[in-house]
Amino acid sequence: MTGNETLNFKQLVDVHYTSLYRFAYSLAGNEHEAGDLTQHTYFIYANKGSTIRDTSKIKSWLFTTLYREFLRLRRLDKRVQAQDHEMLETLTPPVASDVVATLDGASAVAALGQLDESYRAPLALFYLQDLSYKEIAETLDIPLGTVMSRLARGKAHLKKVLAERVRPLPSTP
Amino acid sequence: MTAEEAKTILSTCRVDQLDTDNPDVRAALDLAAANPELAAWWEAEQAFDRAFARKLSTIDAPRPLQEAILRGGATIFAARQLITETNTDAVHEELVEKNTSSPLDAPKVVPFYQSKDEIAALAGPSAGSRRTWTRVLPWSLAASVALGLLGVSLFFQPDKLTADTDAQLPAFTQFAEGLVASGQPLEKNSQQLAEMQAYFASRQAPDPAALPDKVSADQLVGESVRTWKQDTISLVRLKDPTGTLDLFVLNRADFPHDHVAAAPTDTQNGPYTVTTWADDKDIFLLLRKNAAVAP
Repeated sequence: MTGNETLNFKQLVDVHYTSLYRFAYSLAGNEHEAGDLTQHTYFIYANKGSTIRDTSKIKSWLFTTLYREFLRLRRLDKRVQAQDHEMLETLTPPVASDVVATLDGASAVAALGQLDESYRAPLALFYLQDLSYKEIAETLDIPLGTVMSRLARGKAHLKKVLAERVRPLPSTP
Repeated sequence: MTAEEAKTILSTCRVDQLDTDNPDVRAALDLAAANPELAAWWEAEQAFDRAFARKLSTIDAPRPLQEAILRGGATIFAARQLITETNTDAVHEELVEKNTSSPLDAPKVVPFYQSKDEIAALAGPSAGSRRTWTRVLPWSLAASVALGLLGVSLFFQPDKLTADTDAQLPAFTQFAEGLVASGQPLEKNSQQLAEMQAYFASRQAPDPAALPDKVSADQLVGESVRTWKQDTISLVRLKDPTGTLDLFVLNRADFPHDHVAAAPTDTQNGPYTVTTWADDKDIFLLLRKNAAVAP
């Protein structure tokens, strides 16, 4: 029995470790915190995971725990008011996908890191493609509509950040 | 729906998870099909999303950290399971042995008008006359025996004991190993103790007044300040002729349930030799990678 449980823990680490680390890195923007957050999350699971009855929720639980740890460490655990699904800033500078292609993973995370935290988390989960919209909403503890509005706003901001990166420097006289 | 409204809706759609059952999404897609400019925008948007998602997927997660998590977490997880199972099994066995029903079963009702003979014929010698507390007593005894068994089982498996107490040091040790294994660079590379102490003071981190005897002769490499749970931890990296050593300095008040002796104690933990000791103010945890054990 113990062997099986150990195996289950190993499977959980094997399956979700990389995704969790990438999410942590996207949130924190540095390897130090990403490693700490991922490790904390699994240790919390190791201590409390046996209380999770619905195994289909484990993935969401891990992401939620990591996100809460991030908020706790940053002392940012305050609720952001839900926003309506409104008309958002879609008139952003167009950013071609080949501009993105010039980035490496760290630069992509650095661009995400310039966004407000309330946009960064949903956008990271959106691009990591590990969770459904519903699971993203559960993980971030916000309504689905708020996830959508933050995604739209976040993407608009992200494109602005990327457009800034490729804007030519002013020529010197 | 205008083209701008359609853009707002489509910009939140993930290429791998298009919700075509959603009427808004369906309408936006229909509009894109009929509007070449919107169609081109949607194509570019999807290309952008694919490209950005691909970039995030190139982030490498460090393997040594994964191994450290596996090693530490699996032990804790298994210990937690063992404790739960031991407790449940012991209670169950106790109940079976006493040939009693589960406490969750409905209570037996003994009519007050039964004769003494009828009462005597019931399972217990004086079942009908027992007060509530006397009926509860066997369960209390069973629970006590179960707890005793649990204690005995833990006594003979000291590595499991740590998971059932409020001691934090075993979990911190795993964290420290993961930190060292991940190869993260130090925040600062002070090579003078005074400089290092000033850095720790500026970060309100535990500051060893002097390096402990065990490592005082080693060369300083640098330092970091880390947060573990809500506690601030100092890390001092040192070097001796055999390799690198990582000394973690913990505020003793942050680990009230850990009883650490003043004399250094060595334990082998996977590829690491972990030495712990304490003074009045601090707990010291020294990690040295064992050269004899393959990583």
